Amino acid sequence: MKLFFINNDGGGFADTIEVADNTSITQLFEQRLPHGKPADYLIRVNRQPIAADHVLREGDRVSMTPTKIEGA
Amino acid sequence: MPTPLVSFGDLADGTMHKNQKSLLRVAERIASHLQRLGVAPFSFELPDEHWDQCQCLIRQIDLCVSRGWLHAAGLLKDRLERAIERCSDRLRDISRQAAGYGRLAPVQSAREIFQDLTALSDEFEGVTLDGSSQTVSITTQPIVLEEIALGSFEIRLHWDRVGERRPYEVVALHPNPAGESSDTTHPHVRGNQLCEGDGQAAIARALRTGRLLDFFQLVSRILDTYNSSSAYVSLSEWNGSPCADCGAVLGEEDQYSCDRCGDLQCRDCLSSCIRCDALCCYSCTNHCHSCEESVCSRCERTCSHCERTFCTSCLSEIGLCDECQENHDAESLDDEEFSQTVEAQTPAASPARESDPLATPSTDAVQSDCLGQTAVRP
Repeated sequence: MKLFFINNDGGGFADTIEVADNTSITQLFEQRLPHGKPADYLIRVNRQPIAADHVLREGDRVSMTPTKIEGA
Repeated sequence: MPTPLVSFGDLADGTMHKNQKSLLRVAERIASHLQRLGVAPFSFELPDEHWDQCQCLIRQIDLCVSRGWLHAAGLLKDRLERAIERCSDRLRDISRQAAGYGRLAPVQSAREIFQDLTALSDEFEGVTLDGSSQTVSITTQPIVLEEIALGSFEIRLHWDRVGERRPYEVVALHPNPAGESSDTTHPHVRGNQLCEGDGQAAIARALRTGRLLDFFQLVSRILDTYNSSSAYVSLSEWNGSPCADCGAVLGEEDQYSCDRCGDLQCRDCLSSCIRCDALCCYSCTNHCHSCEESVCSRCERTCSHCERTFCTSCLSEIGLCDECQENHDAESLDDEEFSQTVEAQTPAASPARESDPLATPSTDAVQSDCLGQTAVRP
């Protein structure tokens, strides 16, 4: 299934990606941010906070934003 | 204070429909502006402020070294290193930004921007849209970093300026600025401008593609994060005050004041008066021309002849320095010798004995020879 995935870590990434059906948000996180911890990110699906076991659906918009971003 | 077109803080469920049309109109305007930007060149913001700060710090270090304020110079050097690091970080971000410029995602549709605007009220307080000034604003929660309360901030986006150098401002609503810099309201905010650091590229992408919810989330995350290695003013110095002479920021325990003028000083910038032991700043201290010791403005004296500054011990009773006293003494001696010379050259008084019957008789004609006898000189 296709998702619109936004990763606001680092330089930022926003594009449509292909994932397996019934992928959960936790699984997506582990795939896309393998070195991160979910607690260190604001994770939104369709602009809403969701539970860790939320299963994603076709066309969902998923964003992941670090809670700590260092200014200069 | 602008009259908001829509203020989410005032919305009740019954009025949502009416305002949704307003939100959609704003979303359309934003989308239209971003579409026009799609063909415009990307603007890169070079780290001019950080560069200027480096130059200022270098000048301050040179001044401290020339005056022998080595401790202050050391503190400023630490700040210079941080400022150079900020410059380098910014240049690296710009490099990444330039590299990724050609790979921007398409601009969001008006509907998606509308959904972002609607979702703002779920994430933030004080969401305000102002059509006349073309701004979207949110208010953060009160920010406390390392037990220093900085208050809430308003993040104000001018959507018509997206694509320009500074399209948004970060305004402290209850400012608690740094002691040394009143326009530094946050370790990473100066003059209402956020130094984005690690978030710069992501913020730029979010704005250019119309992802307004992401933009406000990114900025608020930066405000809630303290980067001690790259702050305009570190939190450890936040409540400090600058030394009046060298400018070093002083914590409360490091603050002294000049005993004469009362100015705040660091210990390195104070000198002890050799006469009264008062601690005085550079302006209230002079150096005795003779012994070269520090002397305060109350204990200094001037030679009544050459008018140079001396301590009281290095002036004579008549207020002359050693050099002037010597000259004075030499002149006095010359005058005395001259007087003596004049007296010596004046003729002696004439004898008055022959005509003066009371004059003491001369003893030349009568000489005693022996006891009882008197010899008369022929």
